[in-house]
Amino acid sequence: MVKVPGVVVGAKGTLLRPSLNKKYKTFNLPLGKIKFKGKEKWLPELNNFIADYKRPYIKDHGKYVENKKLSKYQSKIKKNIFFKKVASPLAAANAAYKVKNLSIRGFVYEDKHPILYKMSQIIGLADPQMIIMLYKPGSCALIHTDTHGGWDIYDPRKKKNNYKSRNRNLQRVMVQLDDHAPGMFMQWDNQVWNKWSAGDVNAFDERYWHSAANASTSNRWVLRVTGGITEKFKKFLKMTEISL
Amino acid sequence: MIINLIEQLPAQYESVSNEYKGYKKRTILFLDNWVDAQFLEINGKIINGWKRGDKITSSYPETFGSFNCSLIPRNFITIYHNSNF
Repeated sequence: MVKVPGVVVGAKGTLLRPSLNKKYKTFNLPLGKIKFKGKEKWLPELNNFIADYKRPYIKDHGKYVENKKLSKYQSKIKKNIFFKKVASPLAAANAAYKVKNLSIRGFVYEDKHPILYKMSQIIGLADPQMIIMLYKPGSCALIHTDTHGGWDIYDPRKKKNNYKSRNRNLQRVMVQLDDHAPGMFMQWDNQVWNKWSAGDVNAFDERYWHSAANASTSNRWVLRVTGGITEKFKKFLKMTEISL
Repeated sequence: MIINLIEQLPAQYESVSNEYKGYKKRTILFLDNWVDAQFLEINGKIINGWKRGDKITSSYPETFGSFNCSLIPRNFITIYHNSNF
């Protein structure tokens, strides 16, 4: 491979530019600092995956954009103009470009996924929403920020959620459930990652711009846990290796 | 020599492969500046931060793949060849 001036050949966690998020609380747990051990125990549980976490808001935003003239929105997106009338530039871009290759999501069930459930409990977030995300080959999440709004904490098995939207006391944690394959990417803030192994944990400030993609030929599985920050979670952050 | 002009829209991608279409090299000529979430990987290494007019060449059997997760289209030219440029 020939390196040319102006092109940065990066490695895992490469810093691309100064952080855009210095004004925020800038919580950043880099990949691999904390690691769950024992993937042979949780991988069989992925066979019990049910895609029961629906996201009707994506369709709703799509209808909104289509009603407001698709070409007008595509033009604005191409000019990199973010607009305020739709919930987020992500929703608008998904709709304007008719993005279908999104990740598939399902809830974690204690009886079907006991090890993943245990993992979520060890993380220690309060009242957690526990989601398994499946990125099939060719699927992605376009660059966006999180709001930790209603759907980010929604769980149909609970009568009500204890947290209001955009609650800054909520934190999201991701666990990579299988080893990295070439073509799998993840980016948050000013870092791009293309190396990890099963059990690696990461987390970041929800206001960081982030994205993920799978251009490999294998499925990518992720455990996503969102919940309230607790003392137990703060202790979890000091761990390094956790055997299950 | 095969030359392709490609507009990669948001959420479009090239699956990782080492298909050089019968040639030894593949050169990418970037037509736009890089923006966040435009992923390109050659032989397991992330490539980013490019400027319009930059080029990068990979040789068989190095793998390559890309994904545009930004909110704007990414334009580039790929050239399959046996030259030394």
